[in-house]
Amino acid sequence: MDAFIQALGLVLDPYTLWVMVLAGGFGLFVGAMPGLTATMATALLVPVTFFMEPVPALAAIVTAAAMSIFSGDLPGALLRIPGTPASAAYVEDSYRLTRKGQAELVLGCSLVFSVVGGLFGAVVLAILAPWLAEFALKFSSFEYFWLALFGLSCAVFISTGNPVKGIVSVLLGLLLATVGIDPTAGHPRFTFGSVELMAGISLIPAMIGMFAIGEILRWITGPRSVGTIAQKTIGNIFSGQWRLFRRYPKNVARGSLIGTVVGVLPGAGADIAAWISYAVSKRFSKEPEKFGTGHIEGIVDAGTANNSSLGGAWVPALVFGIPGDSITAIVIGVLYMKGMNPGPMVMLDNPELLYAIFVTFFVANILLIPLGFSAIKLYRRILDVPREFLMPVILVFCIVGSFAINNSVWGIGIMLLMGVVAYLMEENGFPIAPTILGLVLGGMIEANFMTSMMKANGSIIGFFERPIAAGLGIVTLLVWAWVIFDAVRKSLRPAAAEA
Amino acid sequence: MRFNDLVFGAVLIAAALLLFLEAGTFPDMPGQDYGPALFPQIIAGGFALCGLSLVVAGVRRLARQKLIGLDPWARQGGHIFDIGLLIGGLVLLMWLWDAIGFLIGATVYATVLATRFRGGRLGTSLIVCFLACLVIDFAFRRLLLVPLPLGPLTGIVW
Repeated sequence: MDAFIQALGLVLDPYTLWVMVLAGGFGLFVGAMPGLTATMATALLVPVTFFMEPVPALAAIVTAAAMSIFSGDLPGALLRIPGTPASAAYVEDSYRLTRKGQAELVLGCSLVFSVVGGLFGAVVLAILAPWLAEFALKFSSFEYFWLALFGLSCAVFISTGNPVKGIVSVLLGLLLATVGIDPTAGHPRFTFGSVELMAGISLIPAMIGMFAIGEILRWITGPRSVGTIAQKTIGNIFSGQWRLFRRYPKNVARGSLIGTVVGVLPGAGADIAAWISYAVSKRFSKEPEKFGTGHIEGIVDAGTANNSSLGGAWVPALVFGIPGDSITAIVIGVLYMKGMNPGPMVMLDNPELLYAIFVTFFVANILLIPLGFSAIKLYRRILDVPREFLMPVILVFCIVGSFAINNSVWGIGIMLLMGVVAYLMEENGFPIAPTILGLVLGGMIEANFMTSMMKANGSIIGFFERPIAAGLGIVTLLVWAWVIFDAVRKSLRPAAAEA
Repeated sequence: MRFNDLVFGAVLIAAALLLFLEAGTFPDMPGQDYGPALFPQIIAGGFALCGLSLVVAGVRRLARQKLIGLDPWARQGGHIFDIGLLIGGLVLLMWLWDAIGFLIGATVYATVLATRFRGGRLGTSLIVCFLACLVIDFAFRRLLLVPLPLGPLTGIVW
């Protein structure tokens, strides 16, 4: 109880609240700009959070992510361009509703159900994380190895249409994680005599590169035009929301649940939560034929799901140090940077930090109502900011951020290289989230693998001798069996078609 | 820029080979027949298998997809030049980082990019980019104490 009161004091501190309001405004702006994502908002915040205490730093990230996922709905409804990938699932419905003169209903629905989903995710996080942390204290290197590998497997399984490209993406991340001093024998690997490489590939510049520089490069080679707003003035957005809630209570509950579960699964974030939730909504709807023609039902489901996934994604990140999505992958980097190793020991060593994160989720989602309302009202002005100025300024910000992590130009080089790699990967159908997960989890997987190998005297059977490890191992192997089976099936399909 | 999977497959197989050879030079741990090479060699094995699969997929698609192709958007309006400008400019900025300092270097870099993106309008680009870089420099160097170099402006600014 003392820790909770301490956490409450930390979050409700005027400085933290100011940080949350500013981060919220920043998140709303980034999310509302087509082409800039919630992950990019988080990556851009890291250099600033580097200089903050842990609680305001994490509060800034939680708030910016929640705001940007919501505000991604604004260009979707008004311009037919999803602001973030998390809004893509229902962009057709929301835009068509706006064209029918119902922009208020759509935007109000996005805001209200984002808050509902976000609060649900926060409740699940607050209940599940401490319970799982107690359970996780019994884990040994065998369980951690399988759990981390399961996380990577899910990332491959969920995030891509082509499993082979997903596997390549994960392997690239794992390879990057091997650069530097080997964790068990202390031997330098792939350093080519460079002192900088001895410390490994710096996580934050790599993430800034992959999520921010990659997106800037995509903007440069993309169409660059934005289009015109479908409805100029927005009236009362809260009118009719209670009626929606009473009409679709099951959808709200289902969207919240699907979002949180998808969030908890490593590698899957708000975008996948929204797609799955929208598909499930259509499958069980009494009016499935109306989906895609300007129907609000799918927006209720998916709008709730994408925000509830944010809380869910923090569960594996905090309890096991395994990111639930690309945003929490960055959070883990921030926690390491602040000398706090995420895992069950956080609950024992820094319980106030864990409670502070729970409180932050609630405060951020409540803040979403006034800030989100303001963003809707100011949307035309947000869109007036010329991207031709914004992109070079974001680039300069990225440069300083990457430099600031180690006060070295080396970080800028890593950022640029990873940005180009991410751009080429995305252009060619390789997902980038598994690379980040591989980079974040690589050290953990290898260290636990090598420790387990030594404990088991090099015997693979040893990896299945403890019951939980065996269970996790079998589930992981089943996921891989499915991935390989799916890859073979897909590779045979064109041949069959050609024959 | 789109590559046929054959290109990626070939690159992955070559990378796997190099990785395997380089990892082979790592010593084993005392008393064990495995060591720092084990994990990279598992990764190399994965690269080789995925590379083979991509080569097969790429060969099948060779009739429909060239080895290297460009998006229709990327071909328009000198977008490839813009990418070259962004990457080349950043490499130059890194090279001159200490000599010209952050404020001058970043202002010039951002202004060149903004002017290019805005179709050659230099005046407002310069003003906006200078002010933005000034704010970033002040925030990071003065408030957050990041040692951004000032170059020739040392002792003159802030």
